[in-house]
Amino acid sequence: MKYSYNWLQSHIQDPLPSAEALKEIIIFHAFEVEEIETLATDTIFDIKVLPDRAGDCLSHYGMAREIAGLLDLNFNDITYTLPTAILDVPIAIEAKDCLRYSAIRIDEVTVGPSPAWLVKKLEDVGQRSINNVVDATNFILLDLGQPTHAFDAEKIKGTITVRYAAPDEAITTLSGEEKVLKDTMMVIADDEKVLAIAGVKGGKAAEVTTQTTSIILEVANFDAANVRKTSRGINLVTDASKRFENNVSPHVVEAARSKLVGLIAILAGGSVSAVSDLYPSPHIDRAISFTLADIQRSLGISIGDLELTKVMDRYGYTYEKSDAFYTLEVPYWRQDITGAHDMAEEFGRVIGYDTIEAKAIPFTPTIILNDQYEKIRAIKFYLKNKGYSEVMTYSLRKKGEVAISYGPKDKSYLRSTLADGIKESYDLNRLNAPLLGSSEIKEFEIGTVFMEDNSASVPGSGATKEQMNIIIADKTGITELGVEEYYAAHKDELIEVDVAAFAKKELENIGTATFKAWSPYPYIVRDIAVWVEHDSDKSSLANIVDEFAEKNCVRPAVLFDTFTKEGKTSVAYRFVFQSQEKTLTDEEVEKQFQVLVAEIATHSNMQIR
Amino acid sequence: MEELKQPSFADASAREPGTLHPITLALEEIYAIFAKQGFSIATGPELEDEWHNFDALNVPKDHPARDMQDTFFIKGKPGFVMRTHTSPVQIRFMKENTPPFAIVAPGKVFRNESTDATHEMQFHQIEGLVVGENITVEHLKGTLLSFFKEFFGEETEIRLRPSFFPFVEPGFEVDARVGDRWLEIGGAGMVHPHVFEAVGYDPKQVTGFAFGVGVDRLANVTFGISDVRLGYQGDLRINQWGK
Repeated sequence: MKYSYNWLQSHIQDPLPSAEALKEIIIFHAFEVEEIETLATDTIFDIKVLPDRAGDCLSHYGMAREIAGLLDLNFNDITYTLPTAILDVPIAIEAKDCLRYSAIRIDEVTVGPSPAWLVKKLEDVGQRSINNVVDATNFILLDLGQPTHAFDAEKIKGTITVRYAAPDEAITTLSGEEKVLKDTMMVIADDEKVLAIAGVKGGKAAEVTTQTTSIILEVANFDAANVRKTSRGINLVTDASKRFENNVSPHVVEAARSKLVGLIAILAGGSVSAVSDLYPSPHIDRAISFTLADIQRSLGISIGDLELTKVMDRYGYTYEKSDAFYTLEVPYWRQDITGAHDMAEEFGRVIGYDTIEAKAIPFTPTIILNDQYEKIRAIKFYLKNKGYSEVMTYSLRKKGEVAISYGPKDKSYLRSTLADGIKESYDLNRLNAPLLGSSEIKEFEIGTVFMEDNSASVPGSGATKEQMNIIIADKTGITELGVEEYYAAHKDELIEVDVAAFAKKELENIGTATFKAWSPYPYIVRDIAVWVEHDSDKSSLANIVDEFAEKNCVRPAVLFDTFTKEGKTSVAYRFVFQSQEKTLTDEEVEKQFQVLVAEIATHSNMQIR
Repeated sequence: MEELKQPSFADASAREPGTLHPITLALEEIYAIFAKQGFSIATGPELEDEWHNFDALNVPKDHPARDMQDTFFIKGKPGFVMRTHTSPVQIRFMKENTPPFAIVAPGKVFRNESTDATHEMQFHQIEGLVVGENITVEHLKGTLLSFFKEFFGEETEIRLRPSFFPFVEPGFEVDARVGDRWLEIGGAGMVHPHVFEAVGYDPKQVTGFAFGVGVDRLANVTFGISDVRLGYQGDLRINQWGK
């Protein structure tokens, strides 16, 4: 969510540190700051609130409360008075997933453009201004994290009911999309029609327009799981659904409706004529108990009562201590706190994890060798030594025995064999053989395959089995076996493989090696064969071709043929040309290649064949 | 592209050793370091049941990760998924062993996501788990610090930032400073008491830490590979680093 520095400051009495300092504090004590944007008069933070804190921190008020706690600043808690009226707004809750529903009717409002300060405030954090009433509801959402909605009161007939949708009941949303609903999804409806998808999006039927003179404000709370399922089900994620699916507390309704009514009075005038509030099962406060030892046991550091109580005081928590036990009354906005482990987190992140020392584990573990893993390691080094190279291909394929749900179309099965993958791989690598510097492609893959388990009591019961297979491909064809079978068949040779020594050598080779992204363009190959007489000529030739290849080719020159005839030796090299930027033409390559030919021609002890 | 006539090689390649995949090399390097610290290897199935992959790891029934959109479910076999992380191996190992122990669990994991240079439907993770009496965040820091010093070099530093994973509390994001850059390397935390309860351990008796590191990311940082998808094309050019 995007947060405005000035907006955050408005909730805190003491001055905030600079934007840059605040960013560091948030990153190391609370959340990831993805981006920070400097505007003429404000700074915007894009903060990735963690899922367990999305219930209280997806709002400026909530984030400011967190920052005030972290920095021990005085937080401006909201003081509010509930709007009152003699009349009720007719409302009813029929769906148990509606936790609270509050409605306020305001008459004689003037709907029109918002003042410049509000338009700017919303735009700075990425919201478009619509009109003063809708902007007021959006402001409250960003300010307090409570989604609210405004209906045109004249367009509502009878009672506002929160109920589950009838199967296939449809609604046209405010953005003009038609959504067909399921009977698990909740709607806000009047006696005749659906007005909104509860917790997700308002409908066209009771839209507030510039002609609207009476509005009904909805300030409600809906079950998180239900809203999430609805939102996913109709593929519509909104600012409102994001708040509800993260368990915003029903308690926030009270502050939100008071602030919203006050804001609308300023922006659109009018007067409250009716108020209703249904809250079937009010939130019951919980308490948790923990000790200092619990926190030490998790973090390792030793802490005193004073350090702990300081942290809790900074956040304004209510707690008691009796003997070693602290009893914390869990604040309504921190429903994620369920036990001592959460208090260790709370304390640890506030003091900063950098204050915790790094230590070696306090016992000497016993190494248990993993039989199959060690076998696979031995096989890999054994095959590598025999000239085979390892590939990895996809486990998800077009064909197989075990299917997956909702996978990509061309990858909706788990592979039951490694053969399909390695065939594609072998063909690809054969075409690239010159680029690989190999005369012959020899490769293998070790990976899991998945089959129906026909040994299961009931066929077609969905029983599956998986197995680690090995497949080897070379010019003689492909061979696929279970890893265990392969190991058994080559046991005498594999047992001789000194895995530790091979691994050590392999890792030493890595050094500071770097991978060079390969070119998507075709390559061109040129060969040259040269007669030489003496070994010294042979090595001067090697120097010439190496230098040329290093400058002009994608890989070192390969010496691919030598033979001796009448005291002279023929040496043949292969060169591979490829550009990172374009497809090379034969002419271009020939021009480069002729440089080499010309160079060799200057040496009287070398004759091009 | 024209097929090349195979030249009459004086079969150099018969004597040339083959090459190993960068993931294998990264896993070898990781394993070598952890083996020195006394860690054992643990493995588990790739097709996993929801209890091991989610429930036992304190992932609530209605958690977004359990949606069809994010996880590959097995058709016709309700309650089974392609494991979304190597964490279920923790559960399997704990059920069959008694603390104290220190394990790493390498393996392939699956996510139902659209792929790009940094996202792939399959990738490799290595999970670490240490459980015993009086295991604390200090030991987590010590283990990770000595690992990354060996992996990236003696001057490497690490830092922990607050994060959230259902199976740990506190939870951390782990960054390692390689050269002058801080890289996000993985997640970690202290094992959540619900996880211990799920495997029949008493959270009053034991504590533990867990961490998970993306192997593809480490391999790609090591070899300078910029696209995670290149590793699974069966293309041997991925093994050609440093040449």
